[in-house]
Amino acid sequence: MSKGDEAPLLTRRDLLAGLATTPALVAFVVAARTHAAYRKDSRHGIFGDLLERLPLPGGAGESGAAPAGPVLNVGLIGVGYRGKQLLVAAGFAQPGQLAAGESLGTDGEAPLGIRIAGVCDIYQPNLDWGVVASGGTAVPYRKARDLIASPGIDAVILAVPDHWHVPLAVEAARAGKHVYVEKCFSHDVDGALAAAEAVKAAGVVLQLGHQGRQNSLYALAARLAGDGLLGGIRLAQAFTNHNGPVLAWNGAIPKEAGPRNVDWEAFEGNGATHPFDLDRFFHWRKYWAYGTGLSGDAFTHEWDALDLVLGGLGIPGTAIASGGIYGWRDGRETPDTYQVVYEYPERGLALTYNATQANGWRRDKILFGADATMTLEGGVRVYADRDSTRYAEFLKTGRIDPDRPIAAYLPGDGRWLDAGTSATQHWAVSRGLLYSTTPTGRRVNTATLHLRDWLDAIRSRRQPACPIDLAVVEAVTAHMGTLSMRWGCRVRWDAAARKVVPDRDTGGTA
Amino acid sequence: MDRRDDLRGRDPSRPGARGVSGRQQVALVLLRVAIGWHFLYEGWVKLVDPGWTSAGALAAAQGPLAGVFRELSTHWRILEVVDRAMSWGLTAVGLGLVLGLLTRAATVAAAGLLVLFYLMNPPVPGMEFLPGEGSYLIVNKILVELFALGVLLAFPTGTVAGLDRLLQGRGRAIAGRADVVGSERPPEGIP
Repeated sequence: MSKGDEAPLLTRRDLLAGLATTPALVAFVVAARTHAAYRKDSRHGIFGDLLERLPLPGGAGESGAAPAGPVLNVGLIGVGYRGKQLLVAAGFAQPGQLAAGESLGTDGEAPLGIRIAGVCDIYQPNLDWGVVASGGTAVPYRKARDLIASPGIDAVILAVPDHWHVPLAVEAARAGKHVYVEKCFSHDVDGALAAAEAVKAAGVVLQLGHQGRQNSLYALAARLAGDGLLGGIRLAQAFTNHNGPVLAWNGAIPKEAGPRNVDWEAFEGNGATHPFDLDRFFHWRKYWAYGTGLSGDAFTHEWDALDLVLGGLGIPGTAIASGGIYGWRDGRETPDTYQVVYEYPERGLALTYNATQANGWRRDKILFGADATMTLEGGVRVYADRDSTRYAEFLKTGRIDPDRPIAAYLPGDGRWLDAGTSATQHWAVSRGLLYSTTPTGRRVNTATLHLRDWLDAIRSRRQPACPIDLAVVEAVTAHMGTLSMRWGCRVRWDAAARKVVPDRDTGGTA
Repeated sequence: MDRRDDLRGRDPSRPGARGVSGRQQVALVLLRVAIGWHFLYEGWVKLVDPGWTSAGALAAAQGPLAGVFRELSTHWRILEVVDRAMSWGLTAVGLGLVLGLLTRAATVAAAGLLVLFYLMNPPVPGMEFLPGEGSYLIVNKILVELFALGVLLAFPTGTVAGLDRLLQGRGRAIAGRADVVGSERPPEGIP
């Protein structure tokens, strides 16, 4: 029996033993602070205060009250695949109309402050779907012109085949209706220029439906590129790989579809005259009379992202393209394999694009700078170049490993990480020097944000994110590639004549 | 006589003695502090990084419970709670183990977290692992750390070297005074 038991007060020995491990905590704090300071120094040496200034992307939407101002009456023309998606993004669908795992774009967000006052489609089941989705507020229209002319409509969303974009946008503008139109903006170059004139003359707000412009990822990438982190960017690559019938424009044709519920004449319009054909009606992208090919349909998404990240590309100087129908020999006219090179001599940049509809491999967009390379697809990663002068000192001392990202941002999107990111990539990022961040932001449907941007622009009389001038650049860029491929020669933009013309060379011989 | 008393044969009421030698006690305390340090730093880096979230780790979960973890990562409100619980939980547990404060609770909580981490990426046949991390089958570092915590539960050290000893001393002092009031001398065998 020790003495301590008899005198049960704190002894000196108790005190010493009680505090024995406290120095470990002091050591921890010193070590952790030293390490944090080292990392901060490294980060500062490489990026200056850039990373501190960068807003973390994510949670771009706002939850809260509906926007101020009157409720806008919106009409939707085209309740097909994309039209339905836009209705859902805008917050309009009945529970039974949502696919598994799909939710309204406005869930957890502020409502858009609109009413779906009219829907129009030339396939009866789609029209019925739209009326139900609107909650019964929408008047059904079989003729787009009637919807546009209705005094109860303030603005229209055009989710129709490409050949109808310009005619309906012009008609809406002339009627004083604001326009949200899907890409590709026009079916040809002249159409884009004519529509721009009409929209500007009418003073309506036109938003081109590149919802990718709302992706906070691209805004972050734009800041990184704009701050010179990459050095001069002289080459950019973009890709589309699609596989399977839906993405190859061969989705299932509804069994109930036929002359009785399809308005074929209204579909063709625009000068086209073919006999009734459900393949043409539902798979219009495969035919030049209605669609704009891989260039207008798929490339424009990539172009949009690069235009945003590179800070406005403008119309390219030249384009040369080729393509062929190799994967889907089903009577289609538009190639399923396509490649194009654009030159931007004024800004010293070449842009290459390559697409297939017979393979689904995922390829990052890549921006090649003199000091660093950026990959962009679901996440942003920046790798210092081995021969960079900007990072030379860090490369020499081994503080930067060119095989590991110096900056990386992966959105906290489970589905994307699941689909696109291997454990190896996570590991590389975690070992990257800096800035491997997944924000706490929630996911927001970019189409919802893009519609909101359009409506805000209408309410506050400002330019939307993808305005008419940009729509013209998008269309001209896309059509330059298509024309080059179809003409079999390099094309250039004749700025004076505002035309795409063959870039006939001096006729050199080999 | 307490059954534990005979393990070492002397000073059975000495807090935490429980029949282990002084050298063994030092080893156990070092183990506790090291595990505590590990937890503390894992918590600290998450607290000081405003952009940190568990979303990536949850989404990359593998194994039979992957679906549950992934589901958590897709609801931002839940994610906020998970993130806060994770960063503060790791820090608190780490502090507890380093300082020997509420050691038993900290040990149990640490073990609970490790069970979760183990289940997030169980090294069972067929799972994929990060390069450079080593190779594991069933047993990985998480499991070893978990079992080490089991050792610390079996051989508690908070009252050997830790703030728990002061708390206990104080408790004993209060109990002692009460006894002084009630009787001439304190009863024997107060732990």
